[in-house]
Amino acid sequence: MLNIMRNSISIFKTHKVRTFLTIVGIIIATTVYLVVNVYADALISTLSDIYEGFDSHTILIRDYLDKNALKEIKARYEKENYSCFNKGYTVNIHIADDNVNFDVEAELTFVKLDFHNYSLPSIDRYDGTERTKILYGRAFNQDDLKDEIGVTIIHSGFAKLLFGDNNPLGQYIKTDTSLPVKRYMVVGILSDTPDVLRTIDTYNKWQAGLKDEKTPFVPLYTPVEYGENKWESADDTIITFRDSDNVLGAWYNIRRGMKWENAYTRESVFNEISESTKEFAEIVNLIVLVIMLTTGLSLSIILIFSFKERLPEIGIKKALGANDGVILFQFFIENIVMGLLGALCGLAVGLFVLITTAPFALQTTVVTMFRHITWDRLLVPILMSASVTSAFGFIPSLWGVKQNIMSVLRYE
Amino acid sequence: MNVKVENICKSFKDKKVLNNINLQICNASFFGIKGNSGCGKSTLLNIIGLLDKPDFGNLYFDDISINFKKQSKLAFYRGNKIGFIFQSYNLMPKLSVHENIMLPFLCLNKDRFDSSLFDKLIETFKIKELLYKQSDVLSGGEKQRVAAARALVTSPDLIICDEPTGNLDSNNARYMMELLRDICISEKKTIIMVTHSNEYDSFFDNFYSFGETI
Ligand SMILES: Nc1ncnc2c1ncn2[C@@H]1O[C@H](COP(=O)(O)OP(=O)(O)OP(=O)(O)O)[C@@H](O)[C@H]1O
Ligand SMILES: [Mg+2]
Repeated sequence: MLNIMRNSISIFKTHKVRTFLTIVGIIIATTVYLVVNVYADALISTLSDIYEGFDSHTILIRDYLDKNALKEIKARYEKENYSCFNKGYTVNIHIADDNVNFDVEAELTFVKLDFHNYSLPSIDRYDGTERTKILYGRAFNQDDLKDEIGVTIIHSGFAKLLFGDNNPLGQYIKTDTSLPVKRYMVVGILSDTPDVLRTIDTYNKWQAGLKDEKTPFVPLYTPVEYGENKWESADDTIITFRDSDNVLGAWYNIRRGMKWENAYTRESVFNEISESTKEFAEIVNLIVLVIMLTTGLSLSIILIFSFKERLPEIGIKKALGANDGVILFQFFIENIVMGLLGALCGLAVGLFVLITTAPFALQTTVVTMFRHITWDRLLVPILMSASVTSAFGFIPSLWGVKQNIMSVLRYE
Repeated sequence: MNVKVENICKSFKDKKVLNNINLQICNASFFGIKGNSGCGKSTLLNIIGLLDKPDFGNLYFDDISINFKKQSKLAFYRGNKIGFIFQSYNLMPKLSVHENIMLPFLCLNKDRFDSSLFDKLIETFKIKELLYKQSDVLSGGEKQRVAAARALVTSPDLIICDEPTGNLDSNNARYMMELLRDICISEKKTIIMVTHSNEYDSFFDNFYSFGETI
């Protein structure tokens, strides 16, 4: 067995061009397969990471560039009857300095608190909006709506940030006077979401003087009167990024109770992007398959032509007592070794490409990239190329082996 | 090994090369086959060496009839019982001398390699310095010696030589003949050898000449 392996490698010396061409084809296919799939995996998981922090009932309007648009929204927000939102809102607090003196800069996020406002007391382990656990304190109840002083539920990470080791329950958070409620009493503490952790991280950097970081904002959940429920399903929820026009458009359409063309739910955005990423990966995999098959086919063709020059070899081996099985096995091993060699080189090239490009790619680092280089991503091309070379090499081998010894020996 | 050739006929297209050949070759004898070029000596050897099949007639090894249709059995005989020194050497050009001599073992499923025999053959055929040279750079005579070593390395019972002295100078040719005769006598191997000269008649226990009857 070892002998045969060594022999098949020494055979490659004899057929440099053929081996080279085949291996190059396999290397290309393997590299493309690895790089594209790992990037697709990384992209999908990055997206799911981003969206993890938000509930599907969340209208997320953030990172405005246009201050006027903000003002407009703010004005409308104060003037109108918000029954179209009807479920509640969240105030984002701009953490201004270390005195923990909050002033609300803008209403950046609206949270739809839906029925859970009312049913919360009955399932008071969970907050209905974020579906995160209420660690301690309580959920909202109907009385909270009547109170002069508003109540709020905040994440434990923020509680720690704001109140240190003091018990946050019963503590007050002051907000900007332009909002309906000025003071909010903390009544419940939620567990942290990944997004919260990120925000705390940003806050710490910000504190450390890294001012170029974006200003952190803290979600503050408050209850609001339940009105006419116009949004039955999560599909009506809207996510808008960075574009003030879109924010306004969204706003108007929400008010008219219409579905907005460019409105997406978290799920729909995520699904759409991951679907198209998967589709892209599938198309590329198809191309990889085509490359593999062409390589295999060209291997077949090259083999058939080069078999003329390999016929004496078959003849000699047969004359020395090799039966068909032994010769077929030798060709089989030879082709498999060739496939494996190509696949290993391809994987090496692919890994190199991944490592060198990861730091420049969006949301990825070498470390996060390596999380997505899984065993199946490595095994599939190895198995694929080994089976392609062995399968496509088999037919010409069989043809060569079935030749008559004397006619084969005469090729010399 | 006793070899019996019975009524063997072989023709290529309409050209009749072998016509009713009958031979009886005893175990441990040195048997010569002589004849002019193109008379069919190699054709006959190929049939005895199980590389080609006759159109008609029978071949017996130790009174066992050879079935030319059973490929695996033929391969077994070729690998285990017969050593063939080809007229055109049939070395693998890109492999080294060492790899070429080891080739029979690569063709067999089981390893019967005998390193003392190998060393002895390297010694007797004076190919120690050539061992790691690529075969296609060798001279005709060197190739002939390598081919002989390869045929003998499996220690076959029947040794078939197609003009093994064709490319050797007269000293080396005589040396080769003596060597074959020694193997024949000391190891009780049957040797069938083709030659077109009458020079070595004294070495043969018996011989067959094309164009004549025994
Ligand atoms: N495969 C074949 N197809 C057609 N003709 C063949 C074939 N093999 C041999 N012959 C012919 O058969 C005849 C005998 O060939 P063979 O090789 O047996 O001669 P030989 O006696 O060994 O000659 P030499 O001494 O030159 O080696 C030759 O005329 C050759 O042309
Ligand atoms: Mg001849």
